[in-house]
Amino acid sequence: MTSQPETVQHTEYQADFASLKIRLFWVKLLSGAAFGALSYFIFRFYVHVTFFVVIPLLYAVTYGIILLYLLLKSGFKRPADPKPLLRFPFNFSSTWLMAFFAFAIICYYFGW
Amino acid sequence: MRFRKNLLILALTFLAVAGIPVFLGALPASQPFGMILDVDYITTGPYEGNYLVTYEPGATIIVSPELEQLWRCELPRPFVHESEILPNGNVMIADTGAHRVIEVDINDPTNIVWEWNAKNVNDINWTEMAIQEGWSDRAIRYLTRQNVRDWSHLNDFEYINGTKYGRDYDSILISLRNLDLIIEVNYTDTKDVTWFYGEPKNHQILFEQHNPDRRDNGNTIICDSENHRIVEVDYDTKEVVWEFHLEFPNGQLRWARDCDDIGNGTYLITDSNNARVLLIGRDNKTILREYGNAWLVQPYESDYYEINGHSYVITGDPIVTSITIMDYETGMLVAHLGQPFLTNFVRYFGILVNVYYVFMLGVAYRRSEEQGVLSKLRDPAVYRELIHVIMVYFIVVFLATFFAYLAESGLHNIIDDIVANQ
Repeated sequence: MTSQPETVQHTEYQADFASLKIRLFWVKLLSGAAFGALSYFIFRFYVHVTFFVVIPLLYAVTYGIILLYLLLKSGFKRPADPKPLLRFPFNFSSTWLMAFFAFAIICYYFGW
Repeated sequence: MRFRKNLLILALTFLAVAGIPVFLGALPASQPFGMILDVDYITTGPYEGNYLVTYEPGATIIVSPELEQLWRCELPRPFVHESEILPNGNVMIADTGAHRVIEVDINDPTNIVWEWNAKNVNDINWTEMAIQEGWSDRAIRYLTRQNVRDWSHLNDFEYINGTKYGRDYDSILISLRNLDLIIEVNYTDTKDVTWFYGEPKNHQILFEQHNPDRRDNGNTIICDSENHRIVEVDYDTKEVVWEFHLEFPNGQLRWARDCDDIGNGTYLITDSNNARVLLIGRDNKTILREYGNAWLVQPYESDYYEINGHSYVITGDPIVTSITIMDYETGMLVAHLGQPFLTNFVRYFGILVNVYYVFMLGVAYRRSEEQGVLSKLRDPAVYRELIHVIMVYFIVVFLATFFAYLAESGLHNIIDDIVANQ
């Protein structure tokens, strides 16, 4: 879970992933918490929806948001090697999942 | 000494794997039952003072308080939900896997002396009944598609002594969960349907109900589980004369699967996915007492009983895998008969995950170049691991709620399918 200094440079794309990682942790934590809380309301009102559909779906939304943010920061320039960019949003996935379950539990416990 | 993360993961994985034969092998083998659904304290007859236990995967047994097996009935399709000792001493069982209620001889558990089968046209003609009652096309379609998985999910019955209600026959009240229907059949001779409530797939009336009970005044209490309520239905008019549900901030009933009238105007409700048993007042609909939310996970059924002037609540919880006995007055745990090996294994696993993050926290703290405790805690590498530790600890502590969340939102259908098709 510890971050390592990491700079990936390409001719068309440049990003300092190490500095972004601190921000990514909080984004993953807060989005995990928010989506965990949201999942309670999904299951509350749509009883036939199941967690094994909802959790991957919300994770994909989180991934998409982070990727979009990275692309925005780079001015939508396509890097020569897209792998580091595409892999970067997967960092702190366990943080997201833990926050998801913790807040789902809180909402479930106190929910009406 | 240099910290090696891979070595830690390897060691913790080894401990987790080593826990499997202990928690899922040795401990289950040390007791005569697995995942308990129904448990009754036997108050009369030759087995008085012992427990009638119905468990998955599948058998009905009588055990002593020391967990010595005194009687056992195994069925070909081991998916059973409920059992009861009849006044004649035999044991009646809800054989869910075979869509039937059977009475087995107490002296010979292989001998079935009475049977009512939802798939036997000689016991019940569904088409005839559907036409007679004017049920919907959807109901008729479901009734005729009897090859669907877990078609009836016959989950409960209750023996009704006819003399109590001025009849010359006794009857059996049967709950067919996946038909959203309760029927009462003549036990004494004809097996005719004498009463019913609900309509297949009409969820306005009942929605996958559990555990109907006939009250002394003739009304029937039903856990209308997926409608998150308990209803009491008048025998003659079939009107709902009493209803109970919870509102904010008391949560909601989540998969209530048992409601017993225990006298003095109180009902005992097993609120499964909230991991609790509630004592409520019938008239003012208030929660008088709450049992077991510290040690239950997904209770199925609870009973009230007395021994030598002391009152107890006994609960079967398939996930806890032990008979849970609580003091009626204080709600305190009196005894766990058996080992809660499943929950303990999950707790054990959660603790190992927590150990990993505690180690990671310690390493990050030591490696931090900041000076002073507060400065070190402000280091992202440190506070990240601290947050992980807190979150995993929270999940482990609220394990029952975590399981209930998973169960309520998809897991219980999977478990049902696995058990129904074993």
